[in-house]
Amino acid sequence: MTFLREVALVAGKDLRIERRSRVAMQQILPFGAIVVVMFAFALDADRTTLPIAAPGLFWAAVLLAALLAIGRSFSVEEVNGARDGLRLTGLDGGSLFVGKAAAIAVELFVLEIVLGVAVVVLYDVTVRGLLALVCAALAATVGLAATGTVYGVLATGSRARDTLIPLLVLPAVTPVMLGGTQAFAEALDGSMSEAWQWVQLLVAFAVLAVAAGTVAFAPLLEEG
Amino acid sequence: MSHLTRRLFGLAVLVALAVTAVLALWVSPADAQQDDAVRLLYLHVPTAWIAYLAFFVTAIASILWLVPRTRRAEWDLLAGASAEVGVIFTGLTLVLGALWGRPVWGVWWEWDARLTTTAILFFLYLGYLALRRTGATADERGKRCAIAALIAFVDVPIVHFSVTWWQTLHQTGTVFNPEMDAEIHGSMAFTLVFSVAAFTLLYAYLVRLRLRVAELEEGLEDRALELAIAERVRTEQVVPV
Amino acid sequence: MIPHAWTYVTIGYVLTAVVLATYVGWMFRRRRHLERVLSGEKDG
Repeated sequence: MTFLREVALVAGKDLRIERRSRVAMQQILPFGAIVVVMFAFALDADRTTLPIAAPGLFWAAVLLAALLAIGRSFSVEEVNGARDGLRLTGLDGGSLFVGKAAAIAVELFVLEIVLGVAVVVLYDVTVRGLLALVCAALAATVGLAATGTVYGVLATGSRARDTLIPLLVLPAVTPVMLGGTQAFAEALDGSMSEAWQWVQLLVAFAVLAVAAGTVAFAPLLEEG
Repeated sequence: MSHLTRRLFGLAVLVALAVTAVLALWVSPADAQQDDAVRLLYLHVPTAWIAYLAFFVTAIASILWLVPRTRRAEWDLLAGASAEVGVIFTGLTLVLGALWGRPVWGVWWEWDARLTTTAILFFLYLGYLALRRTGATADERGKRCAIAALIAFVDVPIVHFSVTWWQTLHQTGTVFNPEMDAEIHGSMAFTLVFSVAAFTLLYAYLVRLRLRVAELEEGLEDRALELAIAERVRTEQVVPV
Repeated sequence: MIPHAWTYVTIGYVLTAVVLATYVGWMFRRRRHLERVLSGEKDG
C-alpha cells in the first residue's frame, strides 16, 4: 500500500470515529466557544481592548481546544486493544503519524473557522487580509497537529496522560502561538508584508514538526 | 569512584565555590555602570552556561541510548540525572537574572527573546522530568524521554543565539560574542572564568550524585522484581499436587 | 549609584546557596536510604 493510501486510511479511521462519537463537535468546539466568551469577561468586555487583543485570544482559545483534541485522538487508541490492533496492521510508523496528525489538523481547522467567526462577531473585529489569515491558520494548524501528535504518542498509555499532554505540548508550540498571533495582528492591521513573514515562520515550524514526527515515530512504535 | 575520592572531589567543589564567592563579593570591583549588582553576574552567567551543558549531556546520552549499538541503561539514567540538574540551574538562571534585572534595568522581567526562550526551555525540560516518571518499562521510558529530550534541546541554540538574532534588551555575549573579542577585563574577567570553572565542577558532582541515586533506584526495582519472582516460585513449589 | 544593590546581591547568593545545599542534602538522604534498603535486603 502506498504511503498516501496508508495515511488516508489512518486519518479516515480517526475522522470516522469522530463522525460517530461527535466528541469534537459536541464537546471540544463548545469548549472553545466558552473560552472565547470567558476572555471577554476577563477583559471586562471593553470595546477597545477586545479587538486589539483578538488575535492572541483567538490563538489561545484554539491552543486550549487543541489540547483536548490531541488527548481525544490518543484516548481512542487505548480502548478495546486498539494499540495492538494498530501494530498488527503493519502500518509504517511514518504513515501512522501523518494520518493521525492529519485527522487532528482537519478537526482543528474546522474549529478555527467556527472560533474565528465567533471572535469576529463577539470582539468586533474588522477582517482584512483574509488570504494571509487563512494561510497563517493552515500553517499553524499543521505545526500544531504534528507537534501534538508527537507528544501524544510520548505520553500515551501513562496514567497522567491528560495532564502530561498540556505540559509537554504548550512550551513546544510557542512558535505557533507567537507566529499565529503576530500574523493575524499584522494582517488585520493591513501590514501585509509583515504578516507574510510570520506566515513563513509558521510554515517553517510546520515543516520541522512534520519531519521530526515522521522520524520519531518509527522507534516509538517498534516495540511500543 | 571510591569513597575517599568522592569526599575529596566534594571538598574541591566546596573550596572552588568558596573562592568564587570571595572573588565575586570582595576581590573584584563594582562595575562602572552596574555598581555592585554586577556581582550577581558571577552566578547568573555560569548557571546559564551549566544549564546548556547539562541539556547537551542529556541530548548526547539520549542519542547514545536510542542507537541500538550503543544502548546501555546507564545512558538513560545519565540523561535523566543531567536534565534534573539542568532544570535546577535554568531556574536559578531565571531568578538570578530577575534579581539582577530589577536594580539594573528597573524591571524584574522583560518579554524579550532571550528571557522568553529561556523560560520556555525551563518548561520544556520540566515536561521531560514529568515524562520520566511514566512508562511501564525502562525501555518505553527510555525511548519516550530520549525523543522528548532531543526535541527540547532544539531550544538551547535558540536561547543562545536569541541575543544576536533579535533586538533584545539582554546584552550580546560578553565572552562568546560573534567577534570573539572579550569585552571585560582584569579581575572581573578572572572572577567570571573562575566561577564558570567552579560551577562546572559543581555540575559534575551533582550529576554524579544524582546518577548514583538513580542507579540505586533502578537496583531497587530490579531487586523487588527478583523478590516477587522468587516468592512466586516458592509458593508454586509448595502448592502443586 | 544603584541603591540597594547589595540587597539584591545578598538575596541572590543566599538563595543559590540554599537551593544547592537543599538539593545535595536531599540526594544524600535518598542515597543513604536506598543503600540501607538494598544492603538490608541482601542479608535478609
